[in-house]
Amino acid sequence: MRQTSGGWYLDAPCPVAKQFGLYAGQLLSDARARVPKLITTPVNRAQEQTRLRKLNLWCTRFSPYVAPWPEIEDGAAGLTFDMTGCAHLFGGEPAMLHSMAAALAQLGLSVRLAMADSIGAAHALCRHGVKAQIIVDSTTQTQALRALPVVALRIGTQTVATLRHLGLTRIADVMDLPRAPLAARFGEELLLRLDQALGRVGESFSPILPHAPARVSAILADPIRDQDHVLKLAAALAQDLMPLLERAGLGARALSLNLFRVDGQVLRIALRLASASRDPAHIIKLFALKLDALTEAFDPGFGFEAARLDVTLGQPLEPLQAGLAQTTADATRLTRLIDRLTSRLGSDNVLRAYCRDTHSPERAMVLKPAGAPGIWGDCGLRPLLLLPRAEPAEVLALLPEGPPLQFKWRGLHYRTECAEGPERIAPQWWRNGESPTRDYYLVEDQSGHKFWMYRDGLYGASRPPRWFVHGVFA
Amino acid sequence: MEDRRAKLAAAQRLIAPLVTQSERVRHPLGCAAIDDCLHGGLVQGALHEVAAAEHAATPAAIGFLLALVTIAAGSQPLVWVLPRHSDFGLPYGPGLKAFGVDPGAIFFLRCANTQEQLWALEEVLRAGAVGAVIGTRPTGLDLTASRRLQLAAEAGATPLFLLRAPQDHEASAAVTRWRVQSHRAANDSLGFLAAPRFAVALERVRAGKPGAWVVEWDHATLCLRLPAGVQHRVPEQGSGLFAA
Repeated sequence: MRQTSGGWYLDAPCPVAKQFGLYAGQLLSDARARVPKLITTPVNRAQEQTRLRKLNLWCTRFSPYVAPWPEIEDGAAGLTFDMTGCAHLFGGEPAMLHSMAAALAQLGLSVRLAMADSIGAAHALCRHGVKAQIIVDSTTQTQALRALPVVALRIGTQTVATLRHLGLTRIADVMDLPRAPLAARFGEELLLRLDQALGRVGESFSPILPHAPARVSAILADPIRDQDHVLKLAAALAQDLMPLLERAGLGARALSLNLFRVDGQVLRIALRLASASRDPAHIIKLFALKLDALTEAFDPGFGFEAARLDVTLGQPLEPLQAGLAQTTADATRLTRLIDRLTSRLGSDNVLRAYCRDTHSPERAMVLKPAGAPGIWGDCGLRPLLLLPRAEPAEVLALLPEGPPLQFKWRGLHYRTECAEGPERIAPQWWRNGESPTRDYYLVEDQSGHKFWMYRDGLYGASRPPRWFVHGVFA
Repeated sequence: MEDRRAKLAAAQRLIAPLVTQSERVRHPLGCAAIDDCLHGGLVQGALHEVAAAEHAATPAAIGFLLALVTIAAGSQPLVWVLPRHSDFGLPYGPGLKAFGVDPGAIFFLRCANTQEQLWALEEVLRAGAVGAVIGTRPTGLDLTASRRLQLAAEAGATPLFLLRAPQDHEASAAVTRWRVQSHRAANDSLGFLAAPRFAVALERVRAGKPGAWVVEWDHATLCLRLPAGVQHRVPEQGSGLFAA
């Protein structure tokens, strides 16, 4: 049931409730009056959407191009499939529909399947056809549509009501009318939907999975649960994938392995590579590391019954010649090493240092996931190690406008033997909360400990300057 | 005497095939006194450990370690497995640059635990794809684990430099172990700090002899030298000999 401004309404009555004469859109109080023992639960659209999305992902085992219907109508949700070139994998169209129906029924769903030349016709036959499974081709499509009610055309309720008022209840009634008066009376929508259903006008949909340059899949006779078996399967898929990539002149930069569980869940393992590769052994090594890192998250449930390996990002890769230059071989070894490290440790933990054009010392370096090497110019006198946060130092004696002569840091006393500076670094006034002007000194004590210290603020300013240790030199 | 020399030569011929290929590649430090003790230089595919004489000398130990890394790896890419905690902060790009190490050539790895850290070290070493690997010796690393690292370094012909905690007494399979104490830097004619110096002791070396020196790192020419007129003493652990 769902709540609207007018009160509670039935959203999706079950088949038994329908036998009692209840229908979608009925007032709950009316329905209760008819069936006092009616069991109802409020609609949770968000939850339905996520479940539909999960189901959609799982259904990509039948065809990579699947999308949910834009809205849930009368409590019925649906998916649109592009089956072009998929049916032969299942032994023809009727066999495919049978195996789909069986697989979905196992998930506890009641399904209706329709296969037609146009999205509109398939949708109409699925929602309003008589049979739960139907396949029509271009010759029988028009005939099959004729008998359906006009509501099957995916048109607004207002239009449906008007058509019904005029005595036009079936698609056949509308189909045989002259087009011009229809367009004048009902606008573009009706004719467009009619043409789409009849296949006169093309229609497209956006599958939730993006286009993949290459993908291979396998359907298993028996579900597998073991991690080793999954790896073997992935290895076989990777082997199959390589000729496809080679023909396209591509190397894989990102891959995803989709494992379809018997119970309708999908385990997706995504992988990114530092450089394009066509080496199945390398890719499998990376998947093995990913699977190892999953440990507890690797949950096969009752087993995986199908798998698909997608290249989600491809990059042109020239065919390699025998007799590689030594430098190329070294570079390959390095990128492969980085791939393995990234797979196991995560891309946030394999980093490179990049220089930023700023005077602010704490912002001058940033560690980012490893990519192209950073370019470093000369940076002047800077400490080898920088403290994550400058730490206050207690200065015991100092020359005015000079370095400290004696100071205490982390509970230890140091006596300055030699100092270099100051290097004045002005604050970035456009940043809020930036500290005042800093004067940096290199301070060396008598044992050779070297500190990068700064005085925060200027003499004669409103508050007395404070001293901080910001880094250490070797 | 002749007889003993002949015997020694015969023994050396006998063990020659046992010396692995990676052990034959050595990187001379450029100071004759030290290279003599090292039998020619730092072994390429081996584990080297650098310990600070005291906690406060840790930055100096890291500096000396980087000097060794630069000598062994040149401009090849490096991997630095970052410690999970460091009292003196993280390596700082501009500072590395000033020291003579290209920060752009380093891959920094962050590991969640010791197990992952050891896996990463071994994986990088065995790949043989980088010039050198820098890491921190995990506390309580036993002899077996350290031998594994040594074998991995040999297999990949890649040197591994581990920073060892000052109070770490665990046995290790390292080919060399250095102890480093801070030392006053060399000043130029204007009184500015010109080149960092380290008081180092070669505490352990396989098939060599220990020694102690004060060395100076020249970040412009990327070489170590022995400054004249400096007293060379053995920095003892926690003794503070150089503090006075």
